[in-house]
Amino acid sequence: MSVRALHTRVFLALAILVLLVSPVFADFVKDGSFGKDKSLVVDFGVPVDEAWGKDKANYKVFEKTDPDIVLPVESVSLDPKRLTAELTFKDPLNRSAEYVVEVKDIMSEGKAVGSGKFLVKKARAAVLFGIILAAMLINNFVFTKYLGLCIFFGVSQRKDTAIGMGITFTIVMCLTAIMCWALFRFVLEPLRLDFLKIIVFIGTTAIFVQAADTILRKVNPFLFKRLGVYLVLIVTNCIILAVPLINADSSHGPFESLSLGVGAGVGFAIALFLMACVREKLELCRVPRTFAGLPIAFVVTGLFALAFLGFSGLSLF
Amino acid sequence: MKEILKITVSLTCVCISAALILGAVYTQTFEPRQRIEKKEKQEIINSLLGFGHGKERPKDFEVYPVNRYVIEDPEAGTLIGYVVPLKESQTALVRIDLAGKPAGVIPLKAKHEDLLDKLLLNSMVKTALPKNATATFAGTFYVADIQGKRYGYVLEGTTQGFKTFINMMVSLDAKLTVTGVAIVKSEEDPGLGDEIKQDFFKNQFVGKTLEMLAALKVVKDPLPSDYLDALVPARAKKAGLAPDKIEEIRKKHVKDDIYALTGATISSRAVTTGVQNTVSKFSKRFGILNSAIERKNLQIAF
Amino acid sequence: MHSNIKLFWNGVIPENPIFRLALSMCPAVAVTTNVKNGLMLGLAVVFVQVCSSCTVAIFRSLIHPRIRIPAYVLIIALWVSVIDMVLPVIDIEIYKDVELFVKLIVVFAIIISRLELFASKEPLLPSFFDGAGMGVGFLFGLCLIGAIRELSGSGTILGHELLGFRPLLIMILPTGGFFVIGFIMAAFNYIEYKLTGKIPTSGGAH
Repeated sequence: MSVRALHTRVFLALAILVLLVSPVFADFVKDGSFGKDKSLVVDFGVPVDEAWGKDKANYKVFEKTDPDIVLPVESVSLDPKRLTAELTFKDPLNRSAEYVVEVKDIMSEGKAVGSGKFLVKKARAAVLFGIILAAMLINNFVFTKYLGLCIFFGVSQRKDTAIGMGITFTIVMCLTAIMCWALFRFVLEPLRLDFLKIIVFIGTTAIFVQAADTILRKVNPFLFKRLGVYLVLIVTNCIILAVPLINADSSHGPFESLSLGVGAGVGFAIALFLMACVREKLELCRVPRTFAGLPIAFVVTGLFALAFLGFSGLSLF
Repeated sequence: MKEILKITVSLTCVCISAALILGAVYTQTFEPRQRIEKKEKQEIINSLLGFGHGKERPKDFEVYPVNRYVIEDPEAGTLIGYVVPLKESQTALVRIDLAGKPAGVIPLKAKHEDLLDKLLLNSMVKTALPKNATATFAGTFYVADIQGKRYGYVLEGTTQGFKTFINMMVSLDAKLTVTGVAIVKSEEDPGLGDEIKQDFFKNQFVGKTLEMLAALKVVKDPLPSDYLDALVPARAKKAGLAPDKIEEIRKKHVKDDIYALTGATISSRAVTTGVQNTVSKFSKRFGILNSAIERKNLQIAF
Repeated sequence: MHSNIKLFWNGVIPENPIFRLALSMCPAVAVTTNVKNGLMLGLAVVFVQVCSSCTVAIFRSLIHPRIRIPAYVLIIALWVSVIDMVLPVIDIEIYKDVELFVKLIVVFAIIISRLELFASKEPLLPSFFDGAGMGVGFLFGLCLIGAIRELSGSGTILGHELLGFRPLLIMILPTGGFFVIGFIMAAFNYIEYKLTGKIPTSGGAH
């Protein structure tokens, strides 16, 4: 394969990726946002009249799921340019909920310019990033959900195998997550065959891993030599089945499913790498003979789990 | 080539027979599973209302579910619909606009026992509405009656816990004072946040009135030991507290804030705000629904 | 008959799946915060192991060697789905605690490794005893870990108050599970060393 052909391929792959991800970023353009703790900010786009803008009665705010419960606005403050208004409430708002702000008869320069409706919610990208972070650190599948331990102990003896496994696993995990989501959403759910999901998910994973193995062997023998050994092992990793099952249970969309896959994969890779670092050092230590090998590895994992407990409750957005 | 065919055929056979067996097991277990889930919910509701294990339910004790729907009608705008049970096993969909005014009542085909079957009810509500309107299920509460007299309410609520959502149920008496809290589903850390399921935490909410709830806070002080004994039935028995003594201690502490669990302040706070929100929303909604029922002169079952 | 009993015993202690073969560790840590959960999942594993071992032993001549792995996975998935649907009918409370792990029995390495190493070669009866032994060994492991963690973490056994206080809360946190397994493994090694004078190499761990 020539270098130029490779470049075109990489470019094409990137273009497809950008196309796929673009709806996520389009969501950044939103009309309202959360302010500090107890407030919402809405952007009118035109300078509004001060007397109108400061009148609490012009705003009607409610949670999207509870349109009949109106939240009382405590105070309104306009920015110096009178383009945005900050509504303050008595109680802290629930940041994972969606709020609707209805404003009637917006007055700009003495004229009424019509009513508006603003939807305030957490940015999609923030939600997805939150899922990735949660799966990676807070609910790390190895240290807090205790999944994938078999492979975790099996391949964490050396750093280079750990890295190889981590990368292979992350790639396979992402693809499986998205494929299983599609299967569940478009085949199992409409046909009301959800009771078949275990058998279908594990079948999909097995077929996918087998196919990846065969294709990689033909297309890129070099990569196959590096990763091929791990590919077969992946099927016995619980995480690969747990992620689609969690996705199906919490009715995640395609991007959420993909994010959970990425988070789980990267989290697993991190866990493997950390463990491999310790175990390489452990080989040089004088461990009591009855503890040598797996027992001491378990104790070390316990210490890691204790450390990862510190991440729980973490939230960035 | 022949081998491939052989492999394909045998794999297909394995798949088909597996699917057939699964289908058979599924159809066999579907009924009892649903029945058990329904029964479990019924038991939680009963024990919240004070008729749990071993305690006989009085005669004429009835619990009616009321389901709430958010209706998006292109002509009438957003409406709230309540499926209420009427006398003689009839049901009706009461529609109320966002300002709280009644916007029409539609009789439904559902019988009283169908009210617990969410899937069936969803489809019935949908067929009763105009074609281009949509209805999304938004929640349920239960109304309990004894011999035609209002006994209490059980509300369902969710709140964001430490890790995932916490599903809970809150029971109120006829005056909207909390009589019990039950955690239905949660995934808090065992040993820490999971303690929200324990009596000494849940029972702290008992006796809080609507006004007390609105001002309720979570404090990190240790739970007073006499209060702890009064909150946990097993400890009260050990300490030899008579029922009226328990009552007295509880009354003494009823104005206290919620004592947070050690090492799980976030979970404690989550449950507290969950109870607050569930009850305050219910009190608003129920007032609106009651006035709508009165104005429309409906013969409701409770 | 004697050899069959020996096969059964072999799975329980000398080749205990958790402490000796170090297979299927995930549930061993995750669901063992108390004995009851361990017992329930252990019973589910016994059921799946015995049923799949028997199924494979009966149909072993019909399964083409080149598709044996997918066929085994399908057979295991079948029995797992069955138990997944039956368990909530038996006891919904406990099922809720072990739900995810019952589904994950599909990928438990212990089951597929017994199918591959034993049931695919031996007739029905020995396969049954081998499967039962491995399943019971697993059950024993789960209950042992569960008992240690429940007693030291919440001071109870099967929900009955024994100590009246909680000695080590850390034991029911994730960390505790890893520690307990590590120490039990070491204890097994120590006993073996005292009995035979040499330390066995631990299993392949995957």
